[in-house]
Amino acid sequence: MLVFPSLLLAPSKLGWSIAGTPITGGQPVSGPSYDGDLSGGGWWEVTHEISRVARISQIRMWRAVAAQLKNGATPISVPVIDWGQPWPNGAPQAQPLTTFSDGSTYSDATRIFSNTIDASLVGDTALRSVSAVVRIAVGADLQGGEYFTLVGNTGWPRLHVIGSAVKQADGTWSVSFLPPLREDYVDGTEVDFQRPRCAMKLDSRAISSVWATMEAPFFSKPSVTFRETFPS
Amino acid sequence: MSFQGDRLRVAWFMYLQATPEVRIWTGVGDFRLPADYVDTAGGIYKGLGIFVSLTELKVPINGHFAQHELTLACPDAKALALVNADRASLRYANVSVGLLELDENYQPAGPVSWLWDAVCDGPRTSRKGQSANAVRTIGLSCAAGETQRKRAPLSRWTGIDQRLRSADDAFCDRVNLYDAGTTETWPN
Repeated sequence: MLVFPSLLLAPSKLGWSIAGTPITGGQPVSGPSYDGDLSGGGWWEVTHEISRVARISQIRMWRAVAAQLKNGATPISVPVIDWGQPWPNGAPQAQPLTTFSDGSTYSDATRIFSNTIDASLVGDTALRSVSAVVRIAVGADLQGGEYFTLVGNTGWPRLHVIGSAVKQADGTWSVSFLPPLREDYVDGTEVDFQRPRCAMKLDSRAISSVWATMEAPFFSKPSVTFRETFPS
Repeated sequence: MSFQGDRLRVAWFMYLQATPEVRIWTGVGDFRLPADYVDTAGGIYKGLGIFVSLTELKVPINGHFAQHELTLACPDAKALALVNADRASLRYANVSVGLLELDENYQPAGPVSWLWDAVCDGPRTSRKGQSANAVRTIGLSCAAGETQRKRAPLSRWTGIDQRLRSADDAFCDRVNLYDAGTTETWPN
């Protein structure tokens, strides 16, 4: 799946939200109106506003991304830019390259790259659950508000955000999150705190703003809105 | 169904008994329902904005015919695939519409209440609006299952009808002389 180059474009405004479908029952005779929601949990939407795309390499990249999005036909993995993840030392950092346990490397002296944060699901977790048990092998304590991504059998990354996290006696975390799980996940599925991202597509209402409009002297301020997408 | 709490969360489900079955709901993503008396196999209901409108669900009383159109969004192959079931099996297929109450965690607060059953006539596509703002939908025309499209067999005070009720009753035999110039309304 394509990956949206959020970091290379440095958006000046970035808003992730869970959209829903509110309905109301109208104004009652007395008292506040009764409202509800039909979406069954909502879906992710994100808007990137890029303040300045000026270097020709950036402009070319932007045009290439716009072309590959194919006006919304192509799903794209949109990364979350965030610093609130449970980094082991409290700050984003690169994981040093490691070797095998006996100190050896691959035959061409390449070492092993791995995620800084290591977390996984404990127990099978069913479609549409809003709670799960997470084991964090390497990483800081959860505080709520962290994003994480799960990738299941369909291969589509799904973004979730933690509402509450309670440490249990055995060291695992009982977490609640939104939106509800999009598919079944088996015991041991990686809970990706390192690179939270979501399978999305270009929002059709925002197609025209994706194509960069050049302003004098030679820069552009494009914006792009994605919403969560699902395989048919 | 209790409808507790101030914030009502419901989801509508539609089960179309064609070949293959069509299962959709009003929410986002997949929703797994267990087997029940309507959807005897149970399965995954597909969501994300496919359900565009659910008209007023009417139940005909005393033989009035009610036609409903369930509207599904159809901008892409995803929704089209839903009604791309065998068209022959769509005709007269049973459609059921049910309501499910969700709790504050979006989990089912009980079984689906299947409120309404109908028989499907067949899908038709429609397109409204111009170029960039065109809206393309699939309409599923359905008849509420309680009636057929005809009158009760014995609904007139005519000699023929009266002799069907009672073979030797000549009470209405001369009605034909009264009603020169009237036309029986369709459907008959």
